[in-house]
Amino acid sequence: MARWGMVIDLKKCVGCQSCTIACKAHHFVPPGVFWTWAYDYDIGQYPNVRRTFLPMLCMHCQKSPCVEVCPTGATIQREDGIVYIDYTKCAGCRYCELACPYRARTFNDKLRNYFGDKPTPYEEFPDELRAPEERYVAGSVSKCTFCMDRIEKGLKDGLKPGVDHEATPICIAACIAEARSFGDLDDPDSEISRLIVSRGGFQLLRELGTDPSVYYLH
Amino acid sequence: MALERQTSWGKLTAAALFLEGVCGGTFLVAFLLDLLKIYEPVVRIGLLVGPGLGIIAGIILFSKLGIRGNGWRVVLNLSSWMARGALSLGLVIVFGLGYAIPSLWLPWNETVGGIIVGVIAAIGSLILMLYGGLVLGAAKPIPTWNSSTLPLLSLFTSLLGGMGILFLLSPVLGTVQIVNFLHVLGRAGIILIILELLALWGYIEVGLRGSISSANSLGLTLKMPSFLAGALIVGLGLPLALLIWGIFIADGALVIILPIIVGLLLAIGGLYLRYTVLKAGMYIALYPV
Repeated sequence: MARWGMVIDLKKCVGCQSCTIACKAHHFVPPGVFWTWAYDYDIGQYPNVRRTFLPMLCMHCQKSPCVEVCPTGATIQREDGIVYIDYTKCAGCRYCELACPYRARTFNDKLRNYFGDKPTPYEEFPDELRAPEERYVAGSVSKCTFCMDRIEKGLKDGLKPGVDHEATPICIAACIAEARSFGDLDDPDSEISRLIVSRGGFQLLRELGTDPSVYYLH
Repeated sequence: MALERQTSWGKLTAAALFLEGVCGGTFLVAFLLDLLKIYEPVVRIGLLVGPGLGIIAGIILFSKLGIRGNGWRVVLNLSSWMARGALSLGLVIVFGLGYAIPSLWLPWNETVGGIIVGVIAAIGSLILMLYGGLVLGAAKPIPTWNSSTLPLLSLFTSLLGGMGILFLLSPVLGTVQIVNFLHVLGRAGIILIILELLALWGYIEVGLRGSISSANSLGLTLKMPSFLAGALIVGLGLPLALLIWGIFIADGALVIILPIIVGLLLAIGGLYLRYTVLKAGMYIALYPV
């Protein structure tokens, strides 16, 4: 069984937020909610100052604190490492929001429209056509799903996630700098495994013991 | 920004955590006094008020849920402290009322069955008193909530809150008994307040020497009026002074209303302390600050 992971090259990220918008468009993410985004901040002291971008998303941790703290069992970790939310079980207590070190989860108190009170035809997209993990409701939390729907469809069609764009998370396909890579962390020959070893990939907040499936490269 | 305060849990959650703790504290103290067969009028009411406060806490927590239809699922995953807390609250309410209500008319509290029911409720009460610190401690990315002193603080605040509730109920005792009640419970209250001040000092000292977010969070706490005026002065300083004065110095009619004043101050202080801890909770920084 594959263990899906992502590698983000911080040297390549230019902070264009294409990943942010692509994710929003693909998953119908409402206003004010972001499943992936890039922090931008300055490091160094004048005159040696540099602007750096830090793309963030759900880390799909192997030891997920969100799975542990969820009282209803709505947060589930699959065998392939993807953590998703079963919205039929979520009670909206927001405990997972507090437990996530990466601020990956957002609470949807109500589902807002992008333009005024009425939804646009695009926003009225029928629920039946959304993937189950996208059917978040008002009062629940939502987060990145590693585009489970694209991975599953791609595998059914005989495609390889991380290699074939149609089977790869949309943020990777949208990245103009090719800063993101996707693949099987348990396959030592996969591109991401080789990148982690050769470039010294690191995990954010490793000391918390969450073992994220997202690695960063300097 | 690098340092972010949590915004998921606010005033209502603070109130619910406070009420849960005080529910446990009130029932446990009343139960212990009932086993000793002293101050019966206050104890009878206290055994009912404790679970009653738990019911109010439950209603507040339920109303805070985003999807209330799934509220019943909150006890399903027992690896979660929230599920354990919900279960403990249920234990205190059901077994607490199961102990208190029959005891109003029958010598139920003197039977083996009654005592077993009471002990189950007391165990639930103990968990509830610690729960306020344990449920926050599971949120690893907020360093000040991971402090080992937080469950202790929660325990002391809950016990003091429980005592405060019994103090508020003390007018049902006669004048002489009120003074005696103040002297007995008040002495325990003085010790608990001192212990809580020590635990609070430990919480702040350790936090200030911790990570940047921990130090910032506690720096913010020390400036918040809800902490300085609410939790420290109103909630601990004034009750301590009044109890010492009332037990060791004062003599006269004023002593009779002292339990009510102290009870009110303890309750207000406990609520403000919970609120401050929640409000000042700051996430660990994701990138260099």
